[in-house]
Formats: sequence, structure tokens, C-alpha cells
Amino acid sequence: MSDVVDNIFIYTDPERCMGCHSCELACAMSHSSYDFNSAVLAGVVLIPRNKVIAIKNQTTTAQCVQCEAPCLDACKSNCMTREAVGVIKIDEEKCIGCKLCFKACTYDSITMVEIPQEEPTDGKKKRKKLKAFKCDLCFDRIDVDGSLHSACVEACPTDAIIITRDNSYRIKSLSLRGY
Amino acid sequence: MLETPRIKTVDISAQKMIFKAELDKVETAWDRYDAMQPQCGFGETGLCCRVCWKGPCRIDPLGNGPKKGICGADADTIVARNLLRSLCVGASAHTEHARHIAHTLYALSENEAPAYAIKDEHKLLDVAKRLKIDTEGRSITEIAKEVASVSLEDFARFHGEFRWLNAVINPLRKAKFEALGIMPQNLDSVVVNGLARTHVGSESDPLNLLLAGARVAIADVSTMAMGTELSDILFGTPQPTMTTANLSVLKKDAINIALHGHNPLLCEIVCDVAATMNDEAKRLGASEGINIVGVCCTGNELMMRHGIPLAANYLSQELTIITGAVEAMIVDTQCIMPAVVETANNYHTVVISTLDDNKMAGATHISFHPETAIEGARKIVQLALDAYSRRDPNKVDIPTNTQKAIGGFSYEAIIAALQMVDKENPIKPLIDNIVNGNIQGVVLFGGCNNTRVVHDYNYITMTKELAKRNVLVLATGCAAGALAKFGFMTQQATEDYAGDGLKTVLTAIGQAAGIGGPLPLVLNMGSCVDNTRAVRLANEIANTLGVDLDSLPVCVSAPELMSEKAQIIGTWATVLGLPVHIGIVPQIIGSPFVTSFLTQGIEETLGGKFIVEVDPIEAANKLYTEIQKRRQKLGI
Ligand code: SF4
Ligand code: SF4
Ligand code: SF4
Ligand code: SF4
Repeated sequence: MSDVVDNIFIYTDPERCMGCHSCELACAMSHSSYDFNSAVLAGVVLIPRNKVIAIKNQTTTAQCVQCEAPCLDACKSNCMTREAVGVIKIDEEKCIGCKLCFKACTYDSITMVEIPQEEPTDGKKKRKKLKAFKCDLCFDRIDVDGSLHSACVEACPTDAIIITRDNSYRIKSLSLRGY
Repeated sequence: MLETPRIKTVDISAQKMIFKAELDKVETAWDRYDAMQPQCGFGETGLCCRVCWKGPCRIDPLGNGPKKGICGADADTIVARNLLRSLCVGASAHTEHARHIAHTLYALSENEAPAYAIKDEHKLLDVAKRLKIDTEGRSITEIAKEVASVSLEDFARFHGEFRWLNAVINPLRKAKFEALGIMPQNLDSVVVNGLARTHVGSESDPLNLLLAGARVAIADVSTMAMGTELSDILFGTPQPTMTTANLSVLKKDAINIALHGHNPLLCEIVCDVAATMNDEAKRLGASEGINIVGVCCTGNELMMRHGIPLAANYLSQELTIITGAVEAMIVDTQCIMPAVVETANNYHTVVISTLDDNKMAGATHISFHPETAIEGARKIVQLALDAYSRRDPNKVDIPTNTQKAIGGFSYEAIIAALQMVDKENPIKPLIDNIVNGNIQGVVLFGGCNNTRVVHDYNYITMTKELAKRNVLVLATGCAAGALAKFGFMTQQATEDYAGDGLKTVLTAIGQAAGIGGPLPLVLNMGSCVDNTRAVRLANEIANTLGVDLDSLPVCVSAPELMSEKAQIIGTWATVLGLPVHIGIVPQIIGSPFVTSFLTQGIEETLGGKFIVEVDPIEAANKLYTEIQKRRQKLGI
């Protein structure tokens, strides 16, 4: 990882992260239209865009590092954008589930998620519908002044997660994950 | 990600079945452990409070976050309260176990438990004497009835002498408890009191909460003694017997029944009934008839009293089923993974729960009551016979590395062996050898298995380390299971691993006792509830020397503990004055006060303490150091 990219991204300090998964919950909630209690009561599956991982005796999170974005170049359906603030964003509505971005990502940061489909009534076989999910720093929650309100950052009880443009953190984050 | 597959167990038969589980696509505790990673740091440190529904409140142990719960409870209060709650649960489990047995003894004395009998009258008289019950000119039934009544009264005793406590705790120790104001009055209310103190807005003084835990622990050791000793009266006091251990004890040509849980009330009767149904099993094509094997502490109970083979301890329970050769797993209570039902669904195994207050989701339930024990047991065994026709021979793969093991070292059996050396004063040869250094000290291994560490590894490693330094090793519960499976309960192990002094003593006693060689390297004292057998032995040594337990070179180790029962046992051992090693970081470290009190402060008042050490070699070193410190103080 040598390229210097000044996109903004998430870094989680393994010294501070306690592995409580609060950030995963927050991430999943942030990308849904539910509130926490009704989601739990309704038993809906909400998928986070980040993942708490353990490396040796430490924990940290893994998510997109908003790099130079081969994913964006790979997408043939025009659903990925580089936003002004420096975030690579997927328009999940437009995503056709072709997996091109998923294959292009060097750092395994895109998750292909199966979206539940209604049983077809015409007797045809049910078709799987996939969508690409990745961390977008909760871009939907951006302020008018351009400040981000990433849900995981807000949820972390030990303030382990920071938002930064400092490439050395990107290198740290990736090397922690074995890249 | 750069992760190498971790070693799961050192039990070779278990390794084989973990591999089979993968092939059979059956999930095990290790898979679920992996899926559970990383585990929550607040829980691990004891800093998550769910005492009331304003919570959960979590204290940030690292700095910037909250330092107090919504009600204002700080880390010390929250951790101490959580610990006290766990101790109360552990004690409750032992209480229900003992109560069940006491009730049965009572029912028997009223002629209402036809399946049971007084198998050990000598033990009944011994217990009666220690409970200060008059035996002169009275019938066995009368004595049994009073022993049962006095025991049942102890649960809710409001006035007068707490009989079981007085039978278990030595006078010097009792005086210390009285001075500290932590003497319990009975078995039940001490738990209720402990729980009440943790209600929102009740006690917040962490020291007083911990002392409440000590009080529960003192009651707990008394209850456990009751459970063990009344079981001996009903089922016989264990004597050394040769048996076998690990998953290889299952037989391809038999109908295999695994008895799992803790309480001997059920499994004893199942054994009796199964013995009468062997011919039926053979008629069904199982040429070796019915093969009963034990799992966890039910397994220990059976191994101790009847030499029935032990298939598995806690973490290998699912693997028993994964052999594909188990017709029925019959469970009573405690340490039964809910997962076994799902595991069994992948094979022909039927899981049968038996206690109305320990039903298992998805299992077949057959209500078991002392009054109708025989019919119940017959139904249960019949289900196993029925399952045999559904067995898929292609799914059967039983490991073939059976280990020999000698079990059955009750307090009485150890004294009887020592009597062969010194008839008048049996404890003297033991004391002499401790004094002359042939035996440096004693370590009692107890406790569970825990997915946080390699299954059985700590037990094996520590035992080797201690035995070569002439430390006498005793074991109970899943520790005993691990050491039996590994071949440490054999005479050969004494030859292979004991230091010279220890070997000399074990050989002298073994020869005198007429077993043609040394005693086994590790003496199996029974199930986890049977830890009080070791307390009785330690008290005997202490009383003879005129000292209290905190002077003896005796330690306890629970290197793979997990259950709340193990937590309360570790606590009472500490409160009785012994150093207690635990090999798992306890869920208390979020509180500096609780951590320092339990690992240091408590030593000043009570003589015991917790030693947390996750490295087994280092742990053995630390226990050996404790033993040497105590020897020095005793001037030996
Ligand atoms: S998904 Fe992968 S390639 Fe795309 S921006 Fe994130 S890290 Fe870069
Ligand atoms: S920024 Fe948003 S999408 Fe990314 S990890 Fe945090 S919560 Fe999830
Ligand atoms: S919230 Fe913070 S501590 Fe918890 S898992 Fe996420 S990064 Fe780790
Ligand atoms: S008792 Fe106090 S600390 Fe515990 S959950 Fe309630 S408010 Fe929070």
C-alpha cells in the first residue's frame, strides 16, 4: 500500500477497541429506516458495513479504507461515485449485484448481500438478488457544512474510531488486517 | 486475514471427533466460539450492569467514556455486584442438588422411594455422628430419617446450630468467620440475602458485597458436603476401581447410553435398570448389550462408585454424539450444552431430559421422580433401545485409543489405604511425608473446560510440572475427567511423571494397600460437588497438626474454569484459607478494588487468595512458590 490517497476514511485504534460490536449495530441501524427497538422486535436483519475483527489479542474494525477505488472503475452500472468530501459511495438502489466492484476491491471491503425476495407467483424459480454494501462513512448523514456523522464513531464507547485523511493510518489499518 | 488454525484440544479422541464433525458438517462449541469472536470487552471486565432496566450501563475502563452507571454505581460496585450474583447462582445449583438428595433420603425413610436403599450404613452412622445425631439403640431407618430431617432443616434453619457447617468447617476457621461477622445461618437465606443486596439502589460498598460473597461461599461448602455425603449413604462410598476413559469407551456393537449432568439420583437407577435389559439389547442385534458411559460429573459419579467408563468432560460432550454411536444421551442438570439437542438431530441419538426443572428445548422429556424411579428409568432405556434400529453404520466412527484410569479415591478410601501403613493413626504417614519433604505439598485440581484455552491442556501441563516437583495431585470434576482421559490416573503415570519423593510415598501406600504397585499419579476424588472430600482430608491434617487450613502447603487450581459453580468453589477455597489459581482471566478486572482485594487484600484477613495466571507452566511455578512459603512458615 504505497499510493497516497487523500480520501477521508475510518481508522479504529486496536488499543482502545474492546470488541463490543456497538459500532456494527450502529452501522446497521444507520443504513436502515428502522429504530433500534422496532428492528429488534420485528426481527429484521440489518447488515453493517463494518466488521469487528480480532487479531491476536487485539480487536479492531475492518471496513472500506476509501482508497484510489478500483471498485469505482470496475462498476459498469454507474452506481459508484466519488463524493466531494472524499468518500466512495454506492447507490444501493441502482446496484444490480454484478459483483464487479466486489472482485475489484483489493481489501475485501465490499460485502455482497442477498436481499430477500418475494416468492414468485408465476411458478418461476426464485432468483437471488444481491447488492453491494460498503462503508460510506454514513454519507447520508452529512451536514450542510460538510461534516460527517458516522454512526460507528458516535457509537463507540471507548472512542476507538476516528475519521481521518492521514495515509499512515490507512497503512496501519490495512497491515493490521494482514495486507 | 492472517490466522493460523488454533489447536482445540489435546485429547486425541476428541481431536478425531472434531475432524469428523467437520466432515459431517456438524457444529461444535469451537465453531460457535469462533463465530462469537471478538467477545465484548465490557462483559469480560465485569463492567456491564444489567441490574435494572435503565441499563445496560457500561463503564469505560479505558478513559473517556462514562465512569458511573445511570444510578451512579461505579466500576467497583458494578463488578462486586455482578460477582456476588454469580456466586449466588453457583451456590443455588449446589443447593438444589443437595436438597434433591436429602429429599430422597427422607422419602426413603418414609418408605416412599422404593428404587433406593441405604447402601452404606457405616457412612450413615459416621454422618449421623458428625451431625451430632444420636444413634444408640435406633434403627437405620430412624437414623436416616433424622439425618435427612436435620439436613433439610439446615436449608432454612432459623435457630440453633447450623449442623452441616459445623461438620465441615474446623473450629479455628469458624472463629475467624465469627470475628468477621460472615457466618451464615443456613443454606437458603444466605443466597436470597446475597441477591437482595444487589438490587438497584441497595448495597454499593464493594467490600461489604464481597464479604456477602464470602458468606455465601461458607454456606456453599456446607451444602456441597451434604450433597456428597448423603449420596454416599444412598449409593455407597467410592472405593478404588479400575475403569477406562475418553471417547473410545463407546462400543460399536453395543447400545450406547451416555449419562450426562450431575446428580447421581437418576443415573444410578438407569444403571440398575439397564443391567436388567441387556438381553433385549442383544436380541436387537447389539452383541455387547447395553454400554453405559458417563459425561461430565454424572460420569464422575458413576466412575467413582461403579467404575463405569468416562467418555467426555465438559467440552467433549457434543463429540460423544458425533461418534454416531450413541443411542441416547440422558441428562439431568448443570453443564449440559443446549447444543446437544441439535447435535443429536444430525444422528439417530435421542436426548432425554429428566428433571421437571431442567427441561431442554427440543429434547424428549421423561419426568423423573424418586417415587417412580424404576418405571421412569425403564422408559428411558427403552427409548435408547428403540433408537438403535435408526443407527446409521456409515456414520459411526469411534476412536480407538482407550485410556485406563483408576477412580474412587474418596476420603474414606484414602484413609483406608493409609491405614494399611499405620492402622492406629492413618493420617500420620501422610503428615510425616509432607514434613520430610517427600511430598512438598498438595494441589487439588477442579473446575471445567473453557473454549478460551486449549481443551484439557492446562490440566496436563500443570500436573506434569507439579508432580515432578513432588506435589501430590488430587482432582475432581472436569479436571478429573481431563486427567483420566490423559492416562494420569494410572500406576504407569506415577512411574513416568512423579518426582522421586512422591513416587516413594505413592509406591509405599500402594504396596501396603495391596495393589501391587504405586497409587495412581492423580487421585480422583469425584465430581465437582465432591470437592469437600478433599476439604475433609485437609481438615484432618490441619486438626492433627493443631493449625488452620491457611498454614497447610495445600493449593487449589481451576485452570480451565467457566461455570458459576466453579466460581463459588474457588471462592470458598479462598475463604477457607487456600491459594486458588485460576487460568482464565475472571470477569472482575474492570474494578481495581475487587481485583486487588481478591488477589491480595483477602490474604491478610483469611489467608487464601486468588492467583490469576493464564500460562500453565508459570501457574505451576506460582503454586509451588505458595507451597514453599507455607512450608517455611511451618518450619518444615
Ligand atoms: S471498496 Fe475497496 S477499492 Fe473500493 S474504495 Fe473501498 S477499499 Fe478501495
Ligand atoms: S462510517 Fe458508516 S458505514 Fe462506515 S463503518 Fe461507520 S457506520 Fe458503518
Ligand atoms: S464500538 Fe468501538 S470498541 Fe466497540 S467494537 Fe466498535 S470500535 Fe470496537
Ligand atoms: S443498576 Fe445502575 S448501573 Fe446498573 S443498570 Fe441500573 S442504572 Fe445502570
